[in-house]
Amino acid sequence: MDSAGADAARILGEIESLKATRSDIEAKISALEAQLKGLSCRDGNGSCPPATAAGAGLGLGLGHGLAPEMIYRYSRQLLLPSFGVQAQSNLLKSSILVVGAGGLGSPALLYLAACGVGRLGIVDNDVVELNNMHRQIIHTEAYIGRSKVESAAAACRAINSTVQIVEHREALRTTNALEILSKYDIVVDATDNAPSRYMISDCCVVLGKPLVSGAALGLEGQLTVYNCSGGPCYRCLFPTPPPTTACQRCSDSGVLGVVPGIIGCLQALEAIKIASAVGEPLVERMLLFDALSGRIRIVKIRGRSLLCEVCGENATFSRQQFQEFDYEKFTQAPLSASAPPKLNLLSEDSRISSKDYSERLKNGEAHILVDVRPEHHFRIVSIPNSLNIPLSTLEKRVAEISSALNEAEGQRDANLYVICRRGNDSQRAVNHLQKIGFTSAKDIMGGLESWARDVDPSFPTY
Amino acid sequence: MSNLCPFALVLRCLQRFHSLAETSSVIFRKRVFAHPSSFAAQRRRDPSKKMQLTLEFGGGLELLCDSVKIHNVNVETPKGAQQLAMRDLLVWVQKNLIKERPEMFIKGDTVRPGVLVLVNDCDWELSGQLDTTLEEKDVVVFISTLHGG
Ligand SMILES: [Zn+2]
Repeated sequence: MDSAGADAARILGEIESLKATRSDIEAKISALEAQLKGLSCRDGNGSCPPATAAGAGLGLGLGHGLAPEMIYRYSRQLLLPSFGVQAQSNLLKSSILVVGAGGLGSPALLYLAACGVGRLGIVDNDVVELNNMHRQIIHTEAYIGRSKVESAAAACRAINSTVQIVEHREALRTTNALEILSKYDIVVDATDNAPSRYMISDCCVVLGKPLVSGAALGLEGQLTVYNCSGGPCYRCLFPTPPPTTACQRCSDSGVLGVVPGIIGCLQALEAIKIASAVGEPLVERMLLFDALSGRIRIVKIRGRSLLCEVCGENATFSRQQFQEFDYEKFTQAPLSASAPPKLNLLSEDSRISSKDYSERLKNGEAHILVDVRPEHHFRIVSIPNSLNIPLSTLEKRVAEISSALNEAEGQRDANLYVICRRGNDSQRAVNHLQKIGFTSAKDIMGGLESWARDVDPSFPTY
Repeated sequence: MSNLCPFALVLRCLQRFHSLAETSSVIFRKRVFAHPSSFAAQRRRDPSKKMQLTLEFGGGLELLCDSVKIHNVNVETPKGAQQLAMRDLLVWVQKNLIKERPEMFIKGDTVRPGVLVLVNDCDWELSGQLDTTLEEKDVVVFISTLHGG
């Protein structure tokens, strides 16, 4: 175990250093490519986009302002009788901001870049991670560890170099939201948490911008357009934030990659419709997608609420109020879907570090290890010989713990350790176990994450 | 729609409930049908009749009812009441379908914040919320708003 652990650590170290070298080289290549592009622009050899799309075709007397290469590039859209030259021309003059370059933002950005939006902004503060790749299809492995905005912008430019891509490598906050959003005609909410959704909607109301809102989790997705054509805002629908326990994250509940992909594509579609002034936007209606049953239903939702605190008849929600509003406090949730805060429910002597536990394990201490994660987590990976009793079933299955303890008892009393993924549920479990008489129960601090970090680097994390 | 008689409208609505595949149209809830052969009229003659409803849970709310999303149920109109209202249905759902963490479904006498209620694909805000009265074969959807992406 020890030498295997050391080997794994060495290999991981080597991989890390190779990755760092690779990303250095890639950064240099990007810089050189940009330099080259600048040179060829000045040479005027035509590989660069025209400064403005409009006006280029006027010399031919076309009237609509589409340059010949634009006509060719977008010909399949121009051929649509219900879209055509006018809609394409509208699109080329429009600007769209996508907040979040994740599961929803990936396909939305790819299609918006491809279809010929004039200016496309991307806001995100995250870096690309391996466990994003299954759904955040705009990013490639070469960008792991680098800014999502940088990665997404490169992908958009690769698809359509004539679109102006604007990178906002920062988290959207009340301090910068007004300034950033005000530069765009349409906002696409592709974020992953409740406070951001309230903040973006409020900001769109203050600035009078239509908001294309999508969400996906597990095998379901939802889509609607807020603050558009007299329709409701996010707060009209959800005046009171949900309890934090109702806000599931993809990192806890999981998500099938294609599900946000579908919703993100639909977000691109709604944004294109609004930008090109074609069709009926999904206002006062909500699309509900259920992947498992293969059903899409479109339901009628309420209109603008006269009593809405932000967009209602007597609402006086100003820029200043927006900037001073504490969205994290309002929703009791952080403005990023990061890991939940670490609980501290137990006294020091009821807790043990993963390192100390591994020592006791090595010394052959009589004990049992209860893993309180849900069963489908346990099936992904677990510590050998641990007993899976999910927290939700703990009360009903106390007898199993008692009998396992009796079996493990040698000459000494067997100890009882509890572990989970991150070290919060294990504390809740120990709290309960101590109350019902298992006074020596201890929680392994930081859960399997700390086990993987401090004891066994080859132990899979998820 | 306005050139159709109310009876035809009822029929049309019911046809729609049966073809859930139809997704493009929104069913607007009408509460004024008084044609003698409508279900509402039948129920007035027989107030103890159990009402057949389809209840659906989504956005994670199904986890509160054994992970079952669609429930075809028969709900009795409360004693003394003429009609079954959403107010009554919520009590019934909490008693009969919600198996765990009821606070994730109900707060006070209504659904918790963040839950949308749809009666025949239409936000219950538009039909009177808790006062919305239900009819035979209505479809009621409870869906938790999602935030993930
Ligand atoms: Zn509003």
